[in-house]
Amino acid sequence: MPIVAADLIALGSLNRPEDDVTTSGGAIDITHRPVFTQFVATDVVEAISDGADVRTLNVTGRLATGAIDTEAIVLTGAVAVAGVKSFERILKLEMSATDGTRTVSVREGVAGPVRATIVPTEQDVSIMFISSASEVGATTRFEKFFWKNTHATLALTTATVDLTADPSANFRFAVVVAKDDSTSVANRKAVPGGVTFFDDNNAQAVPSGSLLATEAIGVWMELALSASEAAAKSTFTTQLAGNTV
Amino acid sequence: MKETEELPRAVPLSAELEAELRTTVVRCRGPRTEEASELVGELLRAGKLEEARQADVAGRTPCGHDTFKLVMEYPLDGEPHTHPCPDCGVITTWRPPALEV
Repeated sequence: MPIVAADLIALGSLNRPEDDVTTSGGAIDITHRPVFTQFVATDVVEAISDGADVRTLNVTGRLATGAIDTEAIVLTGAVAVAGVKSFERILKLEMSATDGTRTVSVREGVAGPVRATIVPTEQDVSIMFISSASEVGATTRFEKFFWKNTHATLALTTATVDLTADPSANFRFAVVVAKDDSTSVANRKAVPGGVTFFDDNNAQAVPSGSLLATEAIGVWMELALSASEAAAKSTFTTQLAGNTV
Repeated sequence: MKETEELPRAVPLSAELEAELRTTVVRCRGPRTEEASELVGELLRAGKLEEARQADVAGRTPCGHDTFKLVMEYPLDGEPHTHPCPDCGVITTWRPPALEV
């Protein structure tokens, strides 16, 4: 069976800073995805598993006041359970442990649309650039994620990475020079060395041109904020594309 | 951001620096139509990220210009630069590594 889109997965790096002083980047974290759909309106979180499951879902988000708050929701298996706090946006959704078989769906509101899915062997999802505020001067921050080809045998050939949507025009990306790397920077304001960042009008090839079965390629993201830029809730979309037999 | 009217490099890069810079191939994706840009914006506002991605891909006229040719004409100073693509005119921005500061 050829490679399909579901075989190409975005995964996080081990170091995911939430401030400007801790390490950013590092090796791949196969239990974490930097991907989910943000809440459209302020609402409670509801979670449901697809079978027997008593793990705890730890929610971190911003309330309507802007304050960051947390809530722990204990799963009751395949029966939906809702939290009581209303979040304006979600920052992190972390399971208390991984599970080899269970999939957890996280909904916006009671019986609302699914906004995140935590699949077997994975533990959490989060946004990137948590608490990245503008400052008196222009500010740039750098965080890293990976694109992984999870197909068991096939290579993704002519593989390229690009930004397919950057509505706020704040982001640039850089593909690292070696696959399965573990490079990091001292903090997310430090510029990763040896790579060139490009905007969404460019596609950058994966080193060697192919992403072999089970290989991953690191991608640094740059968030550039102007001086005293107004608060915004934005997003970017990236894709790994290529050919398959 | 360095402006586009900045004078490009007068002397070509050394082969050593060029090799260090050219770690991967980068191609211009080409311009996106105004209609496609509006559609992408609408889809993003609706939280439909996958549809937005598809609209972005479908709404571009492929270019393929080697963007590194531009990068090599500007200082490798770790600072953002911007320049129109010589082939399709789309404005591209980049931040090179600081290799010759």
